[in-house]
Amino acid sequence: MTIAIHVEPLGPRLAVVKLSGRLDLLSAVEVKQRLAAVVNEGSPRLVVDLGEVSFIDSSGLGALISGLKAARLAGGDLRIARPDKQARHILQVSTLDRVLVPYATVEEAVAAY
Amino acid sequence: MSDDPVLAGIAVDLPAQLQALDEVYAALDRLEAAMNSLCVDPHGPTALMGLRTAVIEIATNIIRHAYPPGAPTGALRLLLQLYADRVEAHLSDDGIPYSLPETLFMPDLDDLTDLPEGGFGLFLARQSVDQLTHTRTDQGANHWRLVKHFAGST
Repeated sequence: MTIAIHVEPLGPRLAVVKLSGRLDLLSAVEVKQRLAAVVNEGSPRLVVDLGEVSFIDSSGLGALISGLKAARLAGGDLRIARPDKQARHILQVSTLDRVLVPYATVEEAVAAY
Repeated sequence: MSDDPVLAGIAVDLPAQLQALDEVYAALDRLEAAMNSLCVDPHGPTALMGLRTAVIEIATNIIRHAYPPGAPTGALRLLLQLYADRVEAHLSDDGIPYSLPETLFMPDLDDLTDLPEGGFGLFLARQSVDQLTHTRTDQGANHWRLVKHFAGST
């Protein structure tokens, strides 16, 4: 296992999903499935906390995009909190920061809903 | 290949399978440790971040696509090198010939209902280093060379 996933419900239709470890090919499917489950269980407004994620690759970005799509289909959204320098790098060069909006803190991401 | 001295080199031969990614990360960590102990350049960590991003993308590409499904697991060779002004990675496999597209691009993000969930690994790799080249060697190997210079690393 390269990643740990902790889900914290935070009010109506909103949950914080904290990831710890590496978000890559080895963990992307697990993250994708967990995000979909959180949405299906009634929390389409997601904040994904990347503060403890040491590395993200394109497979990991794919999992976040999948979560974003599931959230939006259910009337919500997916926002990124606490991306480190490497995460910000790939969000910027991929231009995915246009749709996976990064916030400096979990509180800011939650408050933006 | 240049003639300037290699300050540190790390070589690993791995089976091209998912579990090998852990060894690729470990090799990158060893390069980072060597860089830190030698205090090469203040831009070193940022350069290594870019190289790490690109190496993982190319290694993942090799693991997923170099050898046909059902074929015996082939090799994934990784060489990491630290120079005074840059870091380099060489990755190779003995799999099917690869042809690097002349241009790499991100899929269109304007249609939010149809966002792509993959297919941009090579683009990310190319954007993360200063040079990314692929050659098919006379010995029938795919060889990737990735270079990230310290100067101007942002």
